[in-house]
Amino acid sequence: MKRSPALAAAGVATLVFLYLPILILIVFSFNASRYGAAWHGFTLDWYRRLLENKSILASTENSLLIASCACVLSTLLGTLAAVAQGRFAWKRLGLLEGMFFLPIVIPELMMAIGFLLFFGLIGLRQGLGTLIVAHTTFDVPIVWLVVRARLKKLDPRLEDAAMDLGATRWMAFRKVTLPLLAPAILGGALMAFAISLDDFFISFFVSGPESTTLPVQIYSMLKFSIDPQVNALSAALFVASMSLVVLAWVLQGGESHAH
Amino acid sequence: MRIKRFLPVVAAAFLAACGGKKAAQVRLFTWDSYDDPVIFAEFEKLTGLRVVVDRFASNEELLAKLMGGSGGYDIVVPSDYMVSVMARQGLLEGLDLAKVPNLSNIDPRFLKLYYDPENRYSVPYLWGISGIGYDSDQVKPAPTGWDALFDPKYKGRISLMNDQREVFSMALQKLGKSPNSPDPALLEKAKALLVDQKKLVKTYNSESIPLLLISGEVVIAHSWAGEVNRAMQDKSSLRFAIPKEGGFIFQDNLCIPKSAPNKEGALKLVDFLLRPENAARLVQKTGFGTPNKSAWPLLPEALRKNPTLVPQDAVLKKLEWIHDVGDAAGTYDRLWTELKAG
Amino acid sequence: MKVPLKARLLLPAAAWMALFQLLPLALIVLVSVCMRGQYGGVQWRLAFGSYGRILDPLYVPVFSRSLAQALLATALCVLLSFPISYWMARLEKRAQGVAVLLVLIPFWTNILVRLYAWMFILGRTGLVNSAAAGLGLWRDPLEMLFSQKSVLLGLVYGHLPFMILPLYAALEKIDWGLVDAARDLYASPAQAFLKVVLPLSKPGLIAGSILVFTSIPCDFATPDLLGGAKNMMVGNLIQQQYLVVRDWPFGSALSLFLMAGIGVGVFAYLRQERAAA
Repeated sequence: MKRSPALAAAGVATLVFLYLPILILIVFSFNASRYGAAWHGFTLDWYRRLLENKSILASTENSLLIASCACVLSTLLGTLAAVAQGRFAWKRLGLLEGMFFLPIVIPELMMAIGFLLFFGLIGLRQGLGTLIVAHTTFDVPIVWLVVRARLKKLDPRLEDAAMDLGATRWMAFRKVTLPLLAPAILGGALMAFAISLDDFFISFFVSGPESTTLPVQIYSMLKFSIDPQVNALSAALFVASMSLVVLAWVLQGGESHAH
Repeated sequence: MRIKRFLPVVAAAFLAACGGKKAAQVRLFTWDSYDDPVIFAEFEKLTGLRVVVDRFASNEELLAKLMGGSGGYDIVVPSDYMVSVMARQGLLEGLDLAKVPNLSNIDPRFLKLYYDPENRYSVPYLWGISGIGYDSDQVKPAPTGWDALFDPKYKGRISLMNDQREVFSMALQKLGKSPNSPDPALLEKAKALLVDQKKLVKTYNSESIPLLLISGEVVIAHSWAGEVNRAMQDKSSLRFAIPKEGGFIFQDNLCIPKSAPNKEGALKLVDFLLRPENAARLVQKTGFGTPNKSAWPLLPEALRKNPTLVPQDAVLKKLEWIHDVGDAAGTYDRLWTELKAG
Repeated sequence: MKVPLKARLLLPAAAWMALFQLLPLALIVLVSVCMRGQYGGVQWRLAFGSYGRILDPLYVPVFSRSLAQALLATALCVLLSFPISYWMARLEKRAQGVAVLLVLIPFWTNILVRLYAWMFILGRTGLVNSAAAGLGLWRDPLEMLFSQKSVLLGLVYGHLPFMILPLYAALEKIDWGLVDAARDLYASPAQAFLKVVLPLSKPGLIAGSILVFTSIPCDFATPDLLGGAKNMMVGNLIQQQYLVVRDWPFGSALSLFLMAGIGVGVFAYLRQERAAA
């Protein structure tokens, strides 16, 4: 496998493009100016205020909780649906696919109003529960789409071959197909998590008292321009995520030999 | 295995349902940075009631939520025109003003206003002015009227608010007419003015006005006074001008929705917020004005002289209110879309 | 009753979507054929005027601009994501997992925070202009912000991982032996790419393009923050109808129309894809 340095350079350049705003916000989280216009000196003040800012911390907690639950639920549901649709013959596949596809083409605000009316109609109190339900619903198509794309590329005869060699359908799936699907499932799950964290309209309309999520709070803070506390929070979350990556790298070190 | 999947949802729903049973709370739904946690801490010490705060970013979003049946908030903070809209829709509870003795601190010029002539549904909280923010180092001579926003000298360095009514009101006031006119012919004239102006405008933005002025992205901005008051702390050359045609005034109010779970607690908090020392604190924190006359003497002298924080009769007389225009909303929307779509 | 395996696998997801997706959607469809409430919102009385209003020529530039932006941004995403997805697919297994995470981590930071950072990068006194002045490249600040170009940049930036990841997932499974075989048969690198890699990456490209293309018209934050809100896109229009004018029926009709438009286009694409497979 020849690897071209030009390709690596392009890859790294793209990553830099993706990370540039992150770098900026980290720098500004230490900026002694309330508005991100110019450098006014170094300070840890914003971090100090962030730790005392109970409401931002509460909405961050809400967001992480909702995103995690929705991510797990939607990954399970979406993967199952993609596998069911991809592996078996269906009479009216188009309709089924359409239903899963729908949330991707739905304007968010419309869906938000729809959820608002729906939850009002069935009398479900708005709060974390309704938020998780709503987030899961718009996350499922993402996972479904990504897993489905990958599944199409897999040769079904691999599973058949395993079964010919005596494996049950479940074993064949678990040992053959699932590992091959794993990157797609992981990718879909991570994207679902990201989308959940960023969601604004649905979260605003479907939330109740004390279930404000981070994007909703940040959006309301915009009226007064991004507070450097938000930059400090984002920087902190970023460092936490990077630690996850390092952890993943270290953990994968043991597994790679098993491939 | 299927059950395991639904467990988190069930648990979360259960938690959410349980959350509402706490009675010792007052739930406030308000604008960002519109209050001081110190005030709430004192309130809790005094009454034992914990103040839970959630935020919204616009009157329209607040209304949509309440219209859709989202309840659970004890106090909401709508602007003047929104109070009348919400009252008409039956969303607001009538206030027992006997339980709000601190109302006597409010200057009578801010009571019995067009949107709630008997103060049945609302109590004044903060007020502000729309006018012109500018960098005095770059904009010479200092602007005196709305025409400064139309000056080709500042082409590409002008910003307007991203708000249908504020922008049209500005154009209408420049034409010497009422900002609440439903007359389609007049509105067309206003629109023509705005279309001409569009090539000079860098951005329509209501959220980051301080940032735009401080970073120098624009040198003159259609803005609320509060934004400029706060931005001045970062860049001392910034000033606020109240246009000679009058400018506009808005007032944000404390209201109790019909669906409030703790109306008694809400009234206590409303009364507490009307204490002079708390009102004075709010002025210094938000940069907006207070209608609380007992608070004015408590402010530092520089702030007391600022007509955007403490009202001056000459200014007040010329300020105009932007009302809800009912059925004419469609006309305004159409023209705004024409302005933006082009 | 023995339920076939395929149905049992599909049932949880299908039931969930039917309940929480289709029912709220049905409510919206109902709203779109009702009247606007006297002070806004909706009255539950039938009226079919909203759909007719969509055909108003006033809205044509809004729809066409959104379509053009979406197509352009999608095309740019494809171009920009190919190098990195290709590179990722050819890394060793261990590095691939890390690369996926690296691509996604910026997206766990709130989009508004990142857009504000772009405002600083592109601003008059921001990063690019200051760096250029410092390096002597140009002195007068370049006006980069609040234009169609900055909106495009923001859209591409915001949607890139939704193209990178599906594309990578498809490329990762390609048997590179095929590429080597093509090279052995004297194909140039370009030919090997066009004839072997590109066709095999189609499902990933399609999945990514759909994700990117369908979410752009509804984006209101990027046009507002980076575009200066000077040119209305469909997302802004819908927001206006629901929130400012409080005409829920018309807002719903517009949204459903948008959905139908996008949906039809995408279905046609998917049908063609299945036919070709």
